[in-house]
Amino acid sequence: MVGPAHAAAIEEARRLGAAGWKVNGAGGSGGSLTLVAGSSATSATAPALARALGALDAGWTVLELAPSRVGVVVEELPMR
Amino acid sequence: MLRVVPSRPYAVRATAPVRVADVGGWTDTWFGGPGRVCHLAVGPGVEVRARRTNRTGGAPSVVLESTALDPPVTVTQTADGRWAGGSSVRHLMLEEAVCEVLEGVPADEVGRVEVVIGSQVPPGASLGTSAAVVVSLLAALDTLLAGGRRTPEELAVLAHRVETVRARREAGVQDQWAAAVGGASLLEVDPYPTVRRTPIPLSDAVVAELGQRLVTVVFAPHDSSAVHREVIGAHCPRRWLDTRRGVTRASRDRRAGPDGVGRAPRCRHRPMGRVAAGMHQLAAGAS
Repeated sequence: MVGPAHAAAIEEARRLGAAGWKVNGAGGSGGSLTLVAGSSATSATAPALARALGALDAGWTVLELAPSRVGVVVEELPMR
Repeated sequence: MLRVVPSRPYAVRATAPVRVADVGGWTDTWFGGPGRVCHLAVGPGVEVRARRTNRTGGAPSVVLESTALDPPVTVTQTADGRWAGGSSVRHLMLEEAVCEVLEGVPADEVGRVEVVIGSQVPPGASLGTSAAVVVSLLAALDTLLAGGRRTPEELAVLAHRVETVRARREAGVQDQWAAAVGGASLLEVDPYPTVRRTPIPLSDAVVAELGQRLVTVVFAPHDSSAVHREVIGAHCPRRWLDTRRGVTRASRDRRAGPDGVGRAPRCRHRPMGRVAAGMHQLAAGAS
């Protein structure tokens, strides 16, 4: 479900030439949106897109997330 | 799963990714299947640190701390030998995850354990953070206390069971799988909650490009389980739900394997026609 915040962010992303977007999870109010910045010379880069979205609403948080090929990992910590 | 730990470690750190782009969501639920979903695991996600303490005396216990847990959550052994937490329903899922591991471990092996949970992602961001926390918590305690024999796939199944059966929350299966195995996957869910996973290869170029071009914006906290309940209540006829719950229960009991043995019958009254518009709009989230 595309809520008002999703719609506002999508409109801004479209204006800045984003290549695509996806509402994460169940949708509805709140939650999050993931976008792919455009690759053309006229589209905004990811950092510029992030700045523009952050400026739309001070209550929003923009995250820098990157693909993770690995799942859960467990490692030992040194004894203190 | 990568494990770099001795047989009886003093302290461990478990990390797990969250996920974005959960395409086909809702079909991985007990009421929306049979399901086909895919997703992309992303990080940094969550981190769970667990360590044995030197404190002596008192009942064996596991104490969970996090900026979101105030006061800390404590799971202790009761006089009748059961493990139980004492916090509100809000943290039931974490308590149940701890109990799930402790129930297979002798109490004198547990002693006192402190756990610190951290996340780079705000709670309620619709990124599968809760599932990633439960997977990491199970993995950390399993390694610290139970020999670390569980595979990532087993942790995914266990984490989903903790959330839906022990903590009685509504949830699909894909968040737990994304956190446990990472990468991109196609998950076929039939019968629920049985999962057949096909990894989707990600080339170095794709990973690098997505790393440069992905932007995720979080709007406000969101309760996925509450949205599930809202959809179920609004769109699914009670008679159909009762039938479906019976099918799901039977399926879970049979624990069908990848060969399809124990396949649950389909409900002929699955209300996809009437519900499709609402559910699929919610499911896809695409525009």
